Amino acid sequence: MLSSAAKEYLKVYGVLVGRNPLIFTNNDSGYETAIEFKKNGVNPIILDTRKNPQSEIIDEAKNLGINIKFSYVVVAAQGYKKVKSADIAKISDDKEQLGTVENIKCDCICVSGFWTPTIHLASQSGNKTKFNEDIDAFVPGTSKQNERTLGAANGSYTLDDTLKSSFEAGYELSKKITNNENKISFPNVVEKKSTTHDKFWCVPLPKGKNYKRFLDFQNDVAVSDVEIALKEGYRSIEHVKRYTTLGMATDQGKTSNLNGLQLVSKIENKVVPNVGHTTFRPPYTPVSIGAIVGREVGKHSKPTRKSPMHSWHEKNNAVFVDAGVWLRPRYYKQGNENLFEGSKREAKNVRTNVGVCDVTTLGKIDIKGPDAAELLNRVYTNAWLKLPIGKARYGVMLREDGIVMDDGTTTRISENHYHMTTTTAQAANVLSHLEYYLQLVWPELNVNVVSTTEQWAGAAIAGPKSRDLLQKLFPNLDVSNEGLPFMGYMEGDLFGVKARIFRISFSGELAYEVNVESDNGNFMWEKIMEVGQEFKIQPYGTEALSTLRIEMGHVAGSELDGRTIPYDNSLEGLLSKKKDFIGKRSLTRKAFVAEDRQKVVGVVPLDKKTSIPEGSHLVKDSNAPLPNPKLGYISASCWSVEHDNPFSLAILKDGKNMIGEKLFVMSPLKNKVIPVEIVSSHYVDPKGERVRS
Amino acid sequence: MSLISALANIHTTGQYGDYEDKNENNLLKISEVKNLLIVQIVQYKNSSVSVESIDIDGLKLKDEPLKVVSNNETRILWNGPKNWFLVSTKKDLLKDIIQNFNETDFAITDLSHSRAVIQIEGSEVKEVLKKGCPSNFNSLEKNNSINSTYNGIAFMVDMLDDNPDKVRLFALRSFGESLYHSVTDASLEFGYKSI
Repeated sequence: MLSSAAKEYLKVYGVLVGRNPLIFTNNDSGYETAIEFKKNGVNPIILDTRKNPQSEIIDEAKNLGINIKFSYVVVAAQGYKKVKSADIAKISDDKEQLGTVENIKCDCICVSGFWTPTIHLASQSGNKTKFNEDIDAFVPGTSKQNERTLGAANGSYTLDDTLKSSFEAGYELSKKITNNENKISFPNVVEKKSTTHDKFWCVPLPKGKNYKRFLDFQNDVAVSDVEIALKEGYRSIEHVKRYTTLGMATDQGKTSNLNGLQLVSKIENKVVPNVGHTTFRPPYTPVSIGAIVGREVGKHSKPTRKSPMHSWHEKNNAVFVDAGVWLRPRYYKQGNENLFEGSKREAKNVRTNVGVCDVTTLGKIDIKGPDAAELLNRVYTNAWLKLPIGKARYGVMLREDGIVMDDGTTTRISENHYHMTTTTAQAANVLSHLEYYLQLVWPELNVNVVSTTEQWAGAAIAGPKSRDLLQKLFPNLDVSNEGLPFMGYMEGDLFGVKARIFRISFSGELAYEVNVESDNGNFMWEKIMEVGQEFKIQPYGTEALSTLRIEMGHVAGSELDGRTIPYDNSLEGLLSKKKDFIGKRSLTRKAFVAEDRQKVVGVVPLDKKTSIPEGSHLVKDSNAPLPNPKLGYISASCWSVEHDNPFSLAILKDGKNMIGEKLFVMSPLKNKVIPVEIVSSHYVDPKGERVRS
Repeated sequence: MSLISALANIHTTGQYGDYEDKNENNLLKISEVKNLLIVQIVQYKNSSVSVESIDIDGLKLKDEPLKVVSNNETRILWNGPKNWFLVSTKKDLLKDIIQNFNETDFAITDLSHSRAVIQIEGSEVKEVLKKGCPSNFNSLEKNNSINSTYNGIAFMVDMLDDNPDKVRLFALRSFGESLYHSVTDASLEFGYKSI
């Protein structure tokens, strides 16, 4: 710890930081701490880097019988969780060579590396600092604002100098304000005279040792970190700071900046002024986060979005998860179930019976206008001009750089009226995207887009018994495969409430989405649950939803993550060759058409037991030396309820030709190495027969 | 069939905050406004139809920023160039709107269920609004409307009256409870009556 801190603990708080302290110093300040220890019955040892310094305070320490070792340094601290001893050695006059290393017992090491003025306020006021070689530190230069820095903050380390300069400055200011001569005499000062400090910044390493030499106590930045930064080519001290975090955060380099600058100056063979210093940011004194945040604001900290069925979910033991600012049921806990058990039960019920999921949060955009079809045709990669009324179509939209932006289905409600769905996460972005193009790029299009996410409450009914349930909910409608085919749309009457019915599926099962106006959302949900009892209906949350889509190989946010193009997600079949669309030109870029381009694949552990952590890397050889070439990454993982084993999706280099390959999944964070087989991403129902059944 | 409004789970009647020893009539009054017809009317960019010629419940659309045209049942808020927000207690007005506005020139979208609507009345209304919204409410006059945010939640303010001040706040339905929480919290120091 800092020597001055040890002294302060002792003098201000009566706390002894150690009973066997070692004080390591390059200046006289360390002696003040040692003397304080001695006065309190503790015998410190002083290691002074200087060869033979002479001053009053050193004499006092000697007279007190304090053990002082001149030209000595601490080489390393020993101990676990607390200091038990220190390796020390004599150092040569040029400070480059160490003598024999010896070990001495101690229980704390107090370090004093000399002082640096507090120039932060001056610097923040626009004052250009200058380097003072006498004290090896920056001091304020010419004031830019009504600021005057005095005393230690200006590099005056004696009381005498400080008082003199302060009285002088006070006199000048008084004269300026009052126009009167108010000179008063300086008080007499009795203080011990110090001698010069040693220009010593870094202990050399003993031969064959590679100890960490901490430079920044606040951020654990070591000398080696700065050396690496310079080797990496960072020259500006601002860049070195950002690469290493030296001088960052709460202390803004109070204890580390000068040491760091001296180190860079030495390695770069530059004088310190040429190295410069980083920008000092307020606050100088650490301020607790609580003071910045203010009082407890409860729910004001961020808004929460709730679906119209939220209270039903709450009453039925939903465990919620944040989806943006939406709260969505993650699973509905039964008994002592955990997340894994609950979501597995729910997903299995969808595969065997029928489940219902609150999909209100999905973005919904109402698109109207004579040019609505043209707009869709330009923003989606596939063709939209001929979509019949009463039909839905899956679409993918790209950014201009060819990266997938979002996907979803859009339904033609009437001639000039479409209902677009987006992912929950991208709802606002997609609306902005459409607004941007309509207002700035294609002002000639007569189209209006407006969010109707809140207008409609949505329930997805999925599972082999979903048609039976739907028929009971809408007895007057023909919901057979012919009457309401896959990607079909119709409107109906749900016990007196008008409803929109879409035959679309995210789960890969025979499925429907029913929308009613939001005030009726809870009514719809309760009716579905009530009528669905005979079909063993269960509500399912986002975790089961995720399981269902992963084992079906349906890509979602974790694959459409802002880094992938349609090919990567096996969506290249949706790229129209006949028409233009946003992002089309970018897809011809060399990297995007590379033969071994990454592609989504399925991953199964060879033991069929070990769950694969999301984010893990795929490698060919688990024992290859680092950096082990990464072939891909696990984007999403689940427990396949269909096959009763773990299953993952991955984005894999040359994925198209990797099916059947044996690779390794490596998760350094979880310390796991799992042998796996690469399989098709469509682990369940690869022909997509269920959704069309 | 039971309808559940946007604030049904949070809005409860009673008196809250610093209401003691105050005349009940002087307290802020906060209520949820339900069952409104809310319709967005947008004229397509290339449409040359004169909106002045179209009558809705005896009102004409006015393409004038901030302006609200109104009668006792219906209010039409300017929501942007060629973009209006009609709010009415007459639910069947939608049919007239659809009939009167040609679909080749106008997009008519029913948003009645998409908003949570909070009404606040009282002399401290603007003080409550200032607490969470950066807009200058000193210059907000009767029959003006603005779009802004309150504690980070996008909302629309419709100034219904100024004697005493009376506003309706429209937020996206799913944010309703959060907005209600913010507004009522800001009203505590004045004392309010939830009706």
